[in-house]
Amino acid sequence: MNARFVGAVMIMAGAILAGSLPVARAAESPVAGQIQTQATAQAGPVQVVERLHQGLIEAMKKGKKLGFDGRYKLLEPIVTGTYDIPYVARLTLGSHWGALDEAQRKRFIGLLGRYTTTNYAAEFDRYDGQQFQTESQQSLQQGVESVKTRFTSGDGSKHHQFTYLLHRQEGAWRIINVVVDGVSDLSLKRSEYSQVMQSGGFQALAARLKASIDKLAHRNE
Amino acid sequence: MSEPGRPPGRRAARWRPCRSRQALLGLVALVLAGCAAAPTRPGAPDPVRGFNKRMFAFNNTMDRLVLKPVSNAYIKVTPKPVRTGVTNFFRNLGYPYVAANDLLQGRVQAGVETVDAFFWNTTVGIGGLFDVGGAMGLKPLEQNFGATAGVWGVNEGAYLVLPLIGPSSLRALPGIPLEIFSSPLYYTNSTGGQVAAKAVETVNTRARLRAQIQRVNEALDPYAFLRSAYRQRQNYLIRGGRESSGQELLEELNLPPGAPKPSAPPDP
Repeated sequence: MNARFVGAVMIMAGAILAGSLPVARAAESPVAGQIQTQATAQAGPVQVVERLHQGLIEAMKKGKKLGFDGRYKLLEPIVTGTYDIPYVARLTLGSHWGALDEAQRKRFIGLLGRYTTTNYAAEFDRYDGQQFQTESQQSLQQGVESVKTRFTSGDGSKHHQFTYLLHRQEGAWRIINVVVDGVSDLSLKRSEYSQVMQSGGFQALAARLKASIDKLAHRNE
Repeated sequence: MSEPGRPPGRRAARWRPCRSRQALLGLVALVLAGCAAAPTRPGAPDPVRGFNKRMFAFNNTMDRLVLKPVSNAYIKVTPKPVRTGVTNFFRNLGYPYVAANDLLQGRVQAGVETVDAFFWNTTVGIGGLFDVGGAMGLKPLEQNFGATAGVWGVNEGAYLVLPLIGPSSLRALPGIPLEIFSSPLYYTNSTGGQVAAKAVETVNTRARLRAQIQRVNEALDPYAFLRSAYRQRQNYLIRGGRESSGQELLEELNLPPGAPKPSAPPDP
């Protein structure tokens, strides 16, 4: 029974989470190119996703040398340049967004950006030969596209499907969601955050996000 | 009650085939209803949340006090290749259950591949210690009865957290005995051996998934995180391991009500 407990508990969590999941330790793009720290209007959806992957690979390859703080500094401009954090913040809070005042919205956007980068910096800390390969790009509607990529573990034994959703904002493509083996990061965050908002309001959400950032930053100390 | 003038035994003899035929027809109808699969809905209510939260806390306490310390010790004293062999062995033991679900879902090719993997792992892979099937490209999706019932069109019912088992649902409950009875371990003669094997499997699984468990524990709301992850994963299995369609990905952006449309500019 215990086996089933752990199995069931974790099979779900196991498949999971975007760049923030432990199961996914690395990313490598087959498309060579220099990492740019800012999204440009010219970069298409595939280039944006691959820029993120290349940044993660670099962070992992230099993982030990850089330490958490170094990886955070490396990834912060890449994450903010490839993700549309303000838009993700609105999507995540859904109907709760309207109840926030301007200062709270700015605070939440800032915390969510830090949380996203912290997750990547904490998880992508070592390189064992993992790879990301871009498989396909699909237009879902005007201004929204998906990019399917495949993650392969270092020994080639594990594969996971990473599907990114991007939208075009002021001419630049930015990531707004990532789905790993059918589990959507946006859905997970919505479930969590709406519970916290309902039970404790915005102050509780902000406090828990900050605590989580601190915990992740000191995980490996 | 028996029919007048007819011995009870004879009535039973007439009744059984009729019930069997009905059951068979019902099963066929359910299988054919695969095209009307019942995925879980993102905003579905959680009618037994109070019970679930208590069970979630109980399971976490058991994990913290018992399972985690034991699995940490297991990791320290067991080389990784040994743990991989143990993982392969127990995963292979679960393949008959997986194959049965593949076939009940009408996914014949997946079922045949799972049986194939079980055969190669059990023979060439020395009882499943080596994942020979995996090396041949046979990597069965770990299907379960909850997903099978979903493929048949059965609604999820209440989300459940079961003591010592974890996330489940009303529709997944029959899978618990099915999983037990379909495991080759169930048909061994030694009760002690069964208990020992289950204990090793439990500890090994906890060790294998330690990073994911840590991720759950680090979530802002671990209960909500796990519930969402479980239900999304079940939907993925119901789809046979296929990603959400483009339409489903778009629909998600518009949920819950009040979220901005994809084309809307963000606030300054």
